[in-house]
Parts: sequence; structure tokens; C-alpha cells
Amino acid sequence: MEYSFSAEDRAFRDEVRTWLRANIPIEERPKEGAAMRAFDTAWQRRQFEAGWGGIAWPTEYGGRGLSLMHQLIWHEEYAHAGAPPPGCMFVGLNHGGPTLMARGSEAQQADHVPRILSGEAVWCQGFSEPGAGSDLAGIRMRGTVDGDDVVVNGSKIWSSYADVADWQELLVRTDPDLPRHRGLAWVICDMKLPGITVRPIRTMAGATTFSEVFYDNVRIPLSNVVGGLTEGWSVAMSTLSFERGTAMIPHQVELQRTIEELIVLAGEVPGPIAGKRAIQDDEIAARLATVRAEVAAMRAMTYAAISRALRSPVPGPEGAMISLYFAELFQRVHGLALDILGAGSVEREGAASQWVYRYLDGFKHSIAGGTTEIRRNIVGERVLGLPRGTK
Amino acid sequence: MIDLLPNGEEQALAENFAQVLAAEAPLARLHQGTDADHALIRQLAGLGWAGLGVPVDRGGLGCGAVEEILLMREAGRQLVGPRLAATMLAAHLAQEPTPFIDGSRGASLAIPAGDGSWYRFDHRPGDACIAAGEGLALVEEGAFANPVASRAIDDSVILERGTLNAPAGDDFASRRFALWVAAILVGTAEAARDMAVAYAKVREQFGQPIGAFQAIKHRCADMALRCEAAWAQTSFAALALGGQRSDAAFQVSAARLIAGDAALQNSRGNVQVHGGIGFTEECDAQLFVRRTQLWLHIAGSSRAHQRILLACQPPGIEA
Repeated sequence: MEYSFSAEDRAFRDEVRTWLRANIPIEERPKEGAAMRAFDTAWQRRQFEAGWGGIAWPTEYGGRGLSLMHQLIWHEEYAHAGAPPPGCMFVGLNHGGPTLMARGSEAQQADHVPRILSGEAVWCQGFSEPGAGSDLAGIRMRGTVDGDDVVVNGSKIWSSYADVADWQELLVRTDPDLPRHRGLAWVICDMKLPGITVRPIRTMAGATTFSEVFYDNVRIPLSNVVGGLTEGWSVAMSTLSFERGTAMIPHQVELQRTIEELIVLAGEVPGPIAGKRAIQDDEIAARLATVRAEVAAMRAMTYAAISRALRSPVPGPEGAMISLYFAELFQRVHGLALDILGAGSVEREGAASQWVYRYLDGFKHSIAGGTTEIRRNIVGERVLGLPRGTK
Repeated sequence: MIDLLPNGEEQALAENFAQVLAAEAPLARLHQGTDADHALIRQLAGLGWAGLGVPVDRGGLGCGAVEEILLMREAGRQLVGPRLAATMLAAHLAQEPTPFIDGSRGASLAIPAGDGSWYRFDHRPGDACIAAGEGLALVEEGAFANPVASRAIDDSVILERGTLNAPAGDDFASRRFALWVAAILVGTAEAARDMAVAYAKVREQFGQPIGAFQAIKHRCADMALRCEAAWAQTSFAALALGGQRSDAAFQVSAARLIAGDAALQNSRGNVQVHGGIGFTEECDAQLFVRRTQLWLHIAGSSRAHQRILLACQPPGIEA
């Protein structure tokens, strides 16, 4: 076991810190719509022009190809500096782009990968359907081959940033007679095609960052199918190993910052006992100490995940553990924030507004990308080897 | 370089610890009354392990905090009592460590009872005593006065109540002990997880193994998650303490808090997964609960570690 940084690591950290300090946008990030898209793509463009556009991406795709250690340093500094989240660039940078690198044809890669990196192209995901959520392989939306096109009819849902996206990674059922996981295609869908209607959905936090998407005889060229007409499931599940273990670092550092802010807040606002601050309440103090310990443990778990990635090229199911831990810790921290604010948390203006927003928005963490129940199934079955049963 | 997994040498050592402890300290020994570990600790001393972290020039093996937590984790799995840690602490603290390292002398452990008196665990005539209160100090046998025999929550531990005037003690040694207790609690949490999972795979109800039901599967998944968090944090804390980093106190208290929760929740959950048999004395499941309840009051309670955590400066990103 070891925890040390070389002189070269420290020099890299200095370089990152200096660049971030000079370049992080100072204006507040808009929460939705065209203004949000403009903000997110401009920030991606600025990083790209300075050579930070795809720190984990291989150099042959224009990325920086950083080692896991340097990725770690970048992500730590990025979150510590309070740099904005990738926002609507997330799907392209973390899923669409890497999937194309793994499974796309040369032409598909040349068309799309550089534009994702430079912030020109915004991607969204079209996987979930009203009838296929946790049971993703239950996708029913048809894609029927007709001449040189796949003709798509039906609807997708919970598609983040679909209202501002240019492209969508779309899973459709091309062969209903094959077993569930076999008859799917992963298709690059142009969001401007005729027949597509995007209906933004308002979340419980009051923002409209995801949408339902309707397809009415949408004709997608067959050349946009990635990996074969019945290979969609394996394409969607293809994981690239170059950023393994580092994906949770921004979340972890951000949450650590949040907890420190919360400790300051608890020292300022009145507590449940008259004349005392919130932090002087035993229960609040104990909960603050506990989340401080838990976020420290999440950092250690992240380091353990990186250590595993350095040893084995094959990703294990442990990734489900850290995202499960994060989701529930995030929600505990923000529940605690509202308890610290006390009656002040009923007001969504002024000082409390960001805490209330994050509390409400945080419910997504135990749902999106696999519910915590599904993540527990993965841990139970694939880490512990418990039998699959009647679900 | 960040590596939170054991390297080849550490892994070989951990496997050696595991093998010896599984063979020499089977859980069955704990069903046979008190003082189960007296002979065991002499055996481990025979292998040099009582002086594992003691510098070579003082007669020890010269290993560090990482190797020590690897041993403590395996000791926790086999529910080894406080006598091993107390004797190893004595080897660290004694002017003349040799008798503790070679097994000719052992140490009991004393902790404040909370009302001004002290508890002492696993004392044998001729022992020294580790007084683990606010700080941690090695005291002579006679320092623990007016002993009255009592009965422990854990039947395999000898318990006495008495008085003790503890000297101020050593903060670094306190931290080392809290780290060890964290590692012991992780080992206990892992063994409870493994026992629950193994049972969930073979016990059938409603025509299938109970581990196929989400109510059981998710309980087991939570056990695994607690172990993952607790061991990662305990490893990171060992690196912090071994490297004498400024955040060592923070990381150790975090480890002890997370590991304490893991051991308690997992040992309780293990009883529940076992159902009726889990409630019996003959089942090992109860041993984990009772032993955990003991450790939770040694080297600082969870509340004490929460207070330390809140009083510390939080670690920076490159601490």
C-alpha cells in the first residue's frame, strides 16, 4: 500500500491548478435551456483549446491520454476549484464518444468524435422507455429496416438534455424474435430529423433537464447503426477501461466541499435549542461528524477502485458499490442540510435556495443510471455470488 | 503513486496471518469458556508477530502500520480478544520490549468504566497492563487496584472492575490502538458478512435459497458495502498514521467510526439472516455481536471519535 506523489505529479498538479484558476467561468451556470447549452459548450471549447478537452481520451482521438494518476489529480483539482459540471456535454464525453471509439466505424468516429471533444456537438441518451426502466432489456421501440434506413416509431423517456442535443445514442428493437438482449441496435440519431418531437419534463426540483422523445416514422440511415443491427446491447454495455475508477472523483470532492460548507452553516444558523447554534445540538454535531467520516471513506474507496484498475484491465462489479454509497451519502448530507436550516428550509429564496434545490434534485442519484435496488442486486449477485431469483 | 491494495509482499503476509489464525483460533474455541486466547498469543509471539511493528533494533520485525492492520484484520475475523493488541502495544511502549515480543509476558487491557472506576480484560498474574483512557499508557500489574471479578457481555473474556490512577499517556499510541481496533472491527464485519452470505446460499425457504430474495440479498449487499468502505478507509488511515501525516488523527477516527458501524450492523444482520438458529448460543452468529459490543468501547467510543472528527481540520485534497 502506498500514497505518495512524485515531483512530476506535483508539477502537473500546479499546472492544472494554475490553468483552472485563470479559466473557470465566473458567471453562474444557467440551469436549463439554450443558455445552459451555450454555457456548457463554451466551457468545453475553452478546455479543448487549452488541451484539456478529453483528459482520459486516447491521444489518437484528440484526447490527452492521461494516466489514471493524472486523471485523479485533474478531477480533484477541477472539483476543488469549483469548476462547473460538464452538464449537457456529459453524455457525449462520457458515453457516446467512448462508445464510438470502442465500437464505431472509422467514418462514424471521424464524423462525431472530434465534434464532441471540441464542444460543437451535444449528445443525449435514448435508452429508457415508459415500459423499460430498470428492466432495460425490455425495450420495445421498433426500428424497422426499410431500404437504406432504419424507420423508428415510438417513444423514449428520461432523456437528459434531449431538448438541447444535436445527437442521440438510441437503442431500438430491430428483431423482436431474437432473445431480449440480442435483437437491439445502437443507432446514432440526428435530433433534427423530421418526425422527432421533444417534450421536456419538469423534475421534482423544478428544472427541465430531461425529456420524453417521440418518434413518428423517423428515418435514420443504416450507416448510423453502430456495431451491427443486432449488436445494440453489447455496444451499449461496452465499457472503456481508460477512465475506470476515476469517474466518481468529482462527485466525491464536491460532496466533501458541501459537507465543509454545511459545517460552517451549522455554526451560523440558530439550532433547535433556543439561544444556541445548530452545531451545538448533539444530534446535528454527531451527524456532521459521521458524514465527514463517510465522505473520507468514499475517497478511500475511490482510491481502492483506482488501485484495482491499475492492476486489472477488466472492470469488476465493484463500481456498483461506490455509486451506491455515493447516492445514499449525498441524500443523507442534503437531508441533514435541511435539518440544520430548520424552519428556514421552507423558504426557497435567498440563502436556503441552493440547499433546497440540491436536496430535491438529489433524489435522482438513487434512480438514474440504475436504481439503488438494481445496484444492490448487482452487488449481491456479482460480488457476493448470491443466486438470481424471482425479482 | 496511490495503491490502496496490498502489494505482493503484504498480500503474502496477510495470507500467512489468515492461515495461521484460522487454524489456531477457530471460532469453536469461544464456545468453551473464558480466557480462550492465552495460549494463542504465546504461539503468535513464537512467530515474532507480537513485535510485528516494533523496530528491528528493539527486537521486533520492523514492519509498519500497514502490516499491523493486516494482522489485526485477521484477528478480528477470528474474534481474537483484547489480549493480543494489549501485548503488542506493550511491546511498542515498554523500555524493555523483549518479554512481550518473545511471549514470556503478556498484557491485559484496562479501560475507564465511565463512573471513575476501570474495567480490566483478560488479566493473568504477572501481566503488565495497557491503560487505554484519554491517552494510552503501559502500567505495572499493581496499578490496577481493588480488583473485583465480574462477568463480561462476551463470555470468552475475563472481566474485573477496579481502580487505576492512569498516567497521562501517549496520544500517538492511542491513535495506533484506535487504528488497530478499526482493523479488528473490519475483520469482524467481513467474517459476519461471509457467514451470512454462505448461509443465504444454502438455506432454502419457499422452494429456493433465501439469498435469491431481495430482502436477504440487499441486506447482504449492504454488509459488503460497509466492509468495502471500512477497509478502504482503514487502509488509508494506516498510510496516514505510518507516514505521520497531519491528517492521521482525522483518518483514524473516520476509520474507527465507519468500521464500528460495519461490525455492529453486519454482526446484527448476520443473526437476522440466520433466523431461529441465529438466536441460539450454539450458533457462532451471537459471538460476533457480543465481541463487537465489547470493542466498541475500547480505544474510544463512536461518540468520542465523532467529537475528534468534528474538532479536526478536514484533510485537503493532497493530504
